[in-house]
Amino acid sequence: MKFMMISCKRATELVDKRRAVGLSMLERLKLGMHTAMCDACRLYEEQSTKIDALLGKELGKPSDPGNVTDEHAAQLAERILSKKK
Amino acid sequence: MALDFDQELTQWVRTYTKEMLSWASRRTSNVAVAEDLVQETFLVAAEKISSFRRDSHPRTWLFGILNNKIAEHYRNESRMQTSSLEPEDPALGIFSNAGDWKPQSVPLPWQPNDEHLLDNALFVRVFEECLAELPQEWHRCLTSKFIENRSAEDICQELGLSTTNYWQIIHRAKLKMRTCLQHHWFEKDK
Repeated sequence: MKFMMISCKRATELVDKRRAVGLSMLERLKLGMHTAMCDACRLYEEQSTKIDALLGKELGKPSDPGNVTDEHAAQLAERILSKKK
Repeated sequence: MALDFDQELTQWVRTYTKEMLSWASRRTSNVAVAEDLVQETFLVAAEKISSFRRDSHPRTWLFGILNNKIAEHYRNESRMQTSSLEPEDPALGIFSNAGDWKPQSVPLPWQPNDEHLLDNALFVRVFEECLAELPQEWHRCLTSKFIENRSAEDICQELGLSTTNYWQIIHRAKLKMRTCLQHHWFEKDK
């Protein structure tokens, strides 16, 4: 069974790989065995899920036009319109 | 260009430039580049307006063109610098050589209750600061994944990454985010 053992470092890679692109059957088994025994990596898995949720909400929130001033946008608009003619 | 097309386009420029510029700035982290992309978008729009079928909203149509322009920009850029994994591997500071957690990096439970973290302006600031510390290329992967909810396949194609490079970048970014949040938020009182 020793070949089924993975390190914590590898386990965290598999946690994130699973959420990003998916795992093979063997990888799923290895990860499952590891997290069944390892509290720290189980916690990592839980927090990895939460970080995804946070990233989704934070990055996905409606574009904040605060970083572009009205004036800046108006100047660009005028530049575009003057070229169009 | 027919007069009504011209009027319509003029109106769109006035209506959407700000939103488009803001979106493109956020996705490219570069205002000058964003300005170019918005300009190019309207050039394409001017060429194609006669074939624009009105079954989508003009805003959707324009943002579709803009997103293509952004993707094109990424592709050109990643062709110039291919070393996306090079910046640093946060795992080095987090795990021992044997792959065990280093004592100071072991995940601790997140307290207090973290359901509504993003309602807390202070947390949002810490979160944004942690995000800002990520290398630009990682940031771009996260943005494509989480802003646009695109498939891994699409993102890899857009950013010119192999699947392995892609998930490793996501993994490194999340390792780093998690450590940063633990140190600057969940453990801040300790």
